[in-house]
Amino acid sequence: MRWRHLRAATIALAILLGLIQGCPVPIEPVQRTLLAPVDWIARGVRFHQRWALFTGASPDRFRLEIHTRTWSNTDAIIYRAGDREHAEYADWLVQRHLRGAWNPNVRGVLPGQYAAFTRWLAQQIFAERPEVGMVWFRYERIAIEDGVPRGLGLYVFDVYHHRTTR
Amino acid sequence: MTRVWSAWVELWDRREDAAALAATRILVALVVLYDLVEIGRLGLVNAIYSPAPLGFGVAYDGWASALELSPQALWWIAVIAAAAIATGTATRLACVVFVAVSVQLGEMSPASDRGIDSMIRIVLCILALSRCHARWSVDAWLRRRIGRPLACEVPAWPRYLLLLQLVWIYCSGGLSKTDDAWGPPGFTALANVLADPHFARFDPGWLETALPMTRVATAVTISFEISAPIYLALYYFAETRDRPGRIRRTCNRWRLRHAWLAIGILFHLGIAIGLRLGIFAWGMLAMYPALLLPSELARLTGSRRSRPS
Repeated sequence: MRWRHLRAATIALAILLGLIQGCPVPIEPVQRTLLAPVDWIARGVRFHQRWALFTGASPDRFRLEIHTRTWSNTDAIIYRAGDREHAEYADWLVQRHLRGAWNPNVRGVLPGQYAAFTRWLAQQIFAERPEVGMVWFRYERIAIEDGVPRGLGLYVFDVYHHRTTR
Repeated sequence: MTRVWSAWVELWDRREDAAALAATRILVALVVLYDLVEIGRLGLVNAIYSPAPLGFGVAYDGWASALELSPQALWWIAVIAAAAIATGTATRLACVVFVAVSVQLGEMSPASDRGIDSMIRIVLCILALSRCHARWSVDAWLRRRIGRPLACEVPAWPRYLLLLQLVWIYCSGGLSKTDDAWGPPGFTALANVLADPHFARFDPGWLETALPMTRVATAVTISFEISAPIYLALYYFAETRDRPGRIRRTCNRWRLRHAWLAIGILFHLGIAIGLRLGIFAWGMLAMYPALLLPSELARLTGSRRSRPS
């Protein structure tokens, strides 16, 4: 009989702690204090109860571009997000795990692994294209108006990778 | 207070047919398997989980490195565990192994560890504590063969937790949508998202004509999410339909619970069709069996056990 009560109490506590962790009101000091004894569980299983899906849906967004430059100084765009004519490596780039490493967040901040990602992808491009001497990544700022993305001609987050040996 | 506590204990002591938990187990595992196979098919395992120069993962010292398990080895363990969960083979162990490997992979590439991965870990932790293998599983078949069959009536509390978790995911997601685009007067959020070149599946040209529909869809989405806890009341009214009450009668007569479920399903199908979000929509839909009444699932599966006891 006691087991039933223990189970019910444990579940009540789990729900309460989950609601505290996921509370949308900014009460961080209170959350930290209350959750400190069980924080190891959330960290150990890598979960949280504050869920977000497209929290940032503003019309101001970014569009990834990947450019190459050959040894003869010929530039080319090999990938532009959403552009069927420049869609090399699109299969990789739209894969959700990979995209997590390059898509800016709602505040326009790049993921922590972005630099490593660009280094890795540049190495793949160098391996497949011996004529390429430089790869660079950048984002065009775009504005979505009435469902249509329009480039603003402003480019940010430029990252360059040069082939180290010819 | 004693009566409230007794009712609370009784609620979590209920038992029901294992069909809903088994269905959730199978669907979640299949979604996970698809995701893993896709990474393997694209040759991205080392890219995602290995540090430079093989990939863009972060150097992480966990139990996997202590056991000298490579990302490829971890990937294979995850695939085998997911297949075991789907087939209900050593189910509890498979759930625990998958969660452990998923955590490890998440630490090796935090940027690649998305919200749906976190949700799947929670679901599998709950399923590991449940008897989701009592139906449609190798475990159940083996137990029947040795003359010690698993009871098809199992504790209902894991399904209730999954139901609560799903409702909270929606509610929390809705409450976190503070961007102006999610509210009046424009309700432009969905149009902006569907036009985002990083996520859009189709060229955005169609959005110009469909704009009014996306505005309605935005309003419905935010309302659906923030009001998600109402589903708990609708579920209770459906489960106790024989009791009196005008609100209960109205909600059941107008099938508001089914309407809520339909909105949820359409919401996720819309996401799956219009956006390239990977397994997110399917992972969420995989949990929907937990939202159904046991009698509904029993009708679908032809089971005779339908009412919770």
